[in-house]
Amino acid sequence: MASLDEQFAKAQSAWPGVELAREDFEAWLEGRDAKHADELYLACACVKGVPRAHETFEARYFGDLRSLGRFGSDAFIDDVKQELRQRLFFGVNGKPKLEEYGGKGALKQWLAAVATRVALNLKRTHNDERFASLDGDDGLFELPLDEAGPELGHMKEHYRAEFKKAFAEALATLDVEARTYLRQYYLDGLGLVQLAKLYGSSAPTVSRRLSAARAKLLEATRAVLSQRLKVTKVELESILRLIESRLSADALGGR
Amino acid sequence: MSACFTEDMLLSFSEQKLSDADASAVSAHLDGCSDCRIIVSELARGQTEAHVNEPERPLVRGSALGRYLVLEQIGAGGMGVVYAAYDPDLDRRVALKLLRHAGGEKQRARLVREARAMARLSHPNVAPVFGVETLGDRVFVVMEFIVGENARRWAREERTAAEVLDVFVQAGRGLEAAHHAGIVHRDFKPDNMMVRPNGRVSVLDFGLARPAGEGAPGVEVERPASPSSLTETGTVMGTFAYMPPEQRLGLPTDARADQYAFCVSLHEVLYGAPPTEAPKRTPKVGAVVTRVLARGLQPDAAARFPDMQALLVELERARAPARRWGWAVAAAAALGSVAVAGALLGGAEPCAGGEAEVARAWGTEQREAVARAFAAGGTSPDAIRAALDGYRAKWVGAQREACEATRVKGVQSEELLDRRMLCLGARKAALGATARALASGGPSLQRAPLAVAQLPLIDDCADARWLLEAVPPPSDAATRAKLAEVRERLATVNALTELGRVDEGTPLAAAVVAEARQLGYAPLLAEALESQVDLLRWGLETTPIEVAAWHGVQAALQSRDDRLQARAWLNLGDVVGTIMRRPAEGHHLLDVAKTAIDALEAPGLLEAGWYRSTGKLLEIEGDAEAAIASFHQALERYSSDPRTPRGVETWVWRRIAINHQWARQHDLAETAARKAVELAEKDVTGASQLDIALSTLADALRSKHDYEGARSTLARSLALSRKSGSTRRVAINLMTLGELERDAGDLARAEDWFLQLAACAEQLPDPNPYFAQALGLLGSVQLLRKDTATAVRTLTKSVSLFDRFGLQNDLETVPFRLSLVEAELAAAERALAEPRLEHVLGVLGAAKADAKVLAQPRFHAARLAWQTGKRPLAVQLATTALAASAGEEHGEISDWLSKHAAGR
Ligand SMILES: [Zn+2]
Repeated sequence: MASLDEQFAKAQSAWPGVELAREDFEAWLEGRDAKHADELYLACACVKGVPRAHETFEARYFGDLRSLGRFGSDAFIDDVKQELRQRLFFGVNGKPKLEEYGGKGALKQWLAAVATRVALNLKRTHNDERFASLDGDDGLFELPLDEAGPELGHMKEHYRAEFKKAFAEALATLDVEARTYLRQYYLDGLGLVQLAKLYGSSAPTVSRRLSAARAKLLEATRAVLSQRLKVTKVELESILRLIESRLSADALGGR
Repeated sequence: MSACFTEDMLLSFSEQKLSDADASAVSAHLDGCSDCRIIVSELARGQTEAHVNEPERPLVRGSALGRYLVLEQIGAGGMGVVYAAYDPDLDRRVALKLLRHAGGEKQRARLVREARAMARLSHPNVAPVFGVETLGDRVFVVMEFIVGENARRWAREERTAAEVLDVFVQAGRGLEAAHHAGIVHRDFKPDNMMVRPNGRVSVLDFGLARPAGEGAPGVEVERPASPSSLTETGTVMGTFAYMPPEQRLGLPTDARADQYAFCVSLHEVLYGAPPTEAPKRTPKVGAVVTRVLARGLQPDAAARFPDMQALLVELERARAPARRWGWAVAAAAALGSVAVAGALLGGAEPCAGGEAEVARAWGTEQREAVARAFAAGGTSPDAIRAALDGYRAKWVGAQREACEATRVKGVQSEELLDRRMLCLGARKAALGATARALASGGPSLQRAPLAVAQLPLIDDCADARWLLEAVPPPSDAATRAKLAEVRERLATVNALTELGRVDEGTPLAAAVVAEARQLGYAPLLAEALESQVDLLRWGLETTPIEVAAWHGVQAALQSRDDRLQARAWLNLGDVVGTIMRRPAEGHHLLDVAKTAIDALEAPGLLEAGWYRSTGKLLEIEGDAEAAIASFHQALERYSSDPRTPRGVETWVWRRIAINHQWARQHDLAETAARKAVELAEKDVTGASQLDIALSTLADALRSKHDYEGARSTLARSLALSRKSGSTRRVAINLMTLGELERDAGDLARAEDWFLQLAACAEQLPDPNPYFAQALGLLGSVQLLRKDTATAVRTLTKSVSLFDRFGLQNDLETVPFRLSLVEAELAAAERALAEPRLEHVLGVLGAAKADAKVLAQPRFHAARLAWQTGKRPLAVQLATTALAASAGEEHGEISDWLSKHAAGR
């Protein structure tokens, strides 16, 4: 681990023109993870109102907020930025949000987290329809059903309300981890690789868990439903489907 | 819900820095708080990029680095980490060297400058640098992906002095060229020389180099623990053991530093030890080599050769007498092929043993056994026999040609001979396994032509580039024997798969995968997993398919076999997209497959397979038009390739028909469906597909209101399904036919079909609501035909059966129950009809008011209720039905309401 002097010198050269006092820096590192000392330097400078700190911060980090595009238009992102400026540098109760940054990860990531929360809150106050689709498990309800056999899909079409109720019941029977996996995969659009990284696992393992969770969910839904509505004609169609899926097993081409 | 966590806490969670207790508290919160969950997801998304800035955490397969897709890590050192990656823009595999933080802006700029200088340098003995890119504050160099091994590994095997000199002269030429361009390597060592399978040597890692004469490399030299480890400080530097004194002391260095490193390396490879240690080997080198080394290793740079060129002139002189044999022939290694050794012992002609060898796989005995199996099935074995004979003859020719190239003509290395023989061995195993599977007979003989057409190509074994680029086979005899054994069993799995004998193949495949994994020979494991995926596709469970496909990609990447890789990615994309129903992800994986397929010299059917899978994905996504276009691309390639199994083309045409129908292009749908029928008719192996093709055609005709055409098509389909012996398939056809006639208004015919359906459904095993349903359909038609008494009998039986299955309150049975009420009223059986109607009204009342499927039953119930005097209830029911109805139905109900609601 580099000495405090080295850290200070390195941080200074990382943010040319932002002159934080050495004792402020030292005090700031207390209780924070010095692995991100450079970034903590800038955070501290912003909180202390050091000249050029805010501009430097915005120049370096606000560009990355483009990734919030999935929540709204450019105008919306501008609103988020405005809100962020207030919160990060001045705070709602005079306590700048940047004080909370403890160096547990990259500042850019921390900011992404704060910005996402601001965006979600802003959406809620705007009562935006797009937000509704992010909230709750409605998106999960649209999870692909074909693999579970057409009868389930058929039921979904015809008895939507019953299906939804059964689905919610079935979802509640899964364990917490499985539920979160499914939501992050289907609702938040994380890929296998990203999920694997998040949970310190491998893509095949995540894929396996995800499939197991999905299978369990559909099985539970089916169980609840078949108690309420008995299956009749539709099962015949599933046989056709089965024949079909076996046919497609024929040579993908070129062994 | 607990209070939300701070962003800092969520960040720690995503970085896995929390204690178990804290992490599970966050997990529990995420379950109930979508905001925090979305934030964590955003952090996970950002990690792909964030990790680029954290060199200690390796990039995982599939992550993006700029526009490149990372495949696997292939090396790491003080300079940074090297990954194999795909460049999707240029369709090629590349090596990416992600450099460690170079420190300040100035150093980074210098690295970029140097890499650009390297990119301008083009020489056969310098590894090509395609360019240098920056991402955030990281720099990475894009290089050619070189297949081969570094000189340190290469030297692990016994090498003659002549071979060593040849390799070093080539490397020296690379250094010389760089020096001419003003670039000094400064970290030359055996690890930085790549020996390709064809013997060409390329020098890598000029990453440390800088324009000659630009000052000292810095003085913060740390002495590493071992000569091969790399230093790692803020200042870039070379490897201690290979450094000349001036570089170790941090004094200015020039091209002569590389000369010193070159000589240390040469000494190490020749003698098995650096110049400072006692030699471990005593190679037969002349005095010239000793002199070159002595001069090149002078501590004083001025006492060394003036330049690399002067050094190489001397070294060439030392190499001259040895050169006659060439590097490859001199490699006469311990890798003798068993087959060839046997042939050599056999007599004067060293390459005549192939005939006898292949006869053990497909000879008189096997021919007779297969003939017996076909005779038992009542078909002729001639075509199959001729096909297998042809394969055998081709094999013998290829075996002789491969053997003679080395043993008689001496134009081919032992190594290549060995690989060709292994390749031919695998084909012989496939021939033998197919023969055995055919001999055991059974209904699968129908698929015999398909199985024979899918035998691996013999021509592949003449493809030297492909054979040599793959990971080398194990060299010890015991492992090789085990390898041959597992390959034999894998061939059996494939034969069983092609013949559709899934139940036998599945357990065997699992065993073969486990054995291949234990052997640790990646190409075999990749093939075994591929076969396992093929088999699993026949089953109902989907998860194991995806897992096997992922593992297949992993093994294929390790195998360094381009074709295996292309197939593995294609397989994975198809599995994820079409079986796991995640089309977006499937497309992404297929993109990778495409780059791999395009890089192949002979993609064969893989291109067709790619278009076929892509079409299916587009279909799932609902883009009928694009799906059709992709399917046509597939057909174009299938139809021009004699190895295409016919069944595939039938399948593709049927998908085209179905997609046209979705796009409401009924004429085109009909044409495509006819094409599918035509192909299925011609196909002796795919008889089972014909009735499905016919159903597709019937659907297309029905959509065009061509009832006559649909009728005759379905009749044919019915006849075929009867022949197949599948009661369920017969039942489906009968039901479709009855519904068709009912819709077309021919009630007599409809009744006839439903009668047959009832008879057929009665044979299905219990518990069996189909029979009740069949009777219900039949009774409803009898009622329409005003055959009231019969209708009452049939419908009563239907309803009581439904009740026996516990379906009293089932909505799908409501139409049949209402028909019965109607029939009973018509037969003046009010006492029976009224309580029954009461029950149905109860069921309907409990159902959702806006259910569209219930509009018709509700309206029906309304009319019956009116008939029995429940007028206000009737109007109420009809009003509810009206709200959920549409089109014709809507008009009918509102007419009825306007007549009845007013007069109430
Ligand atoms: Zn929360």
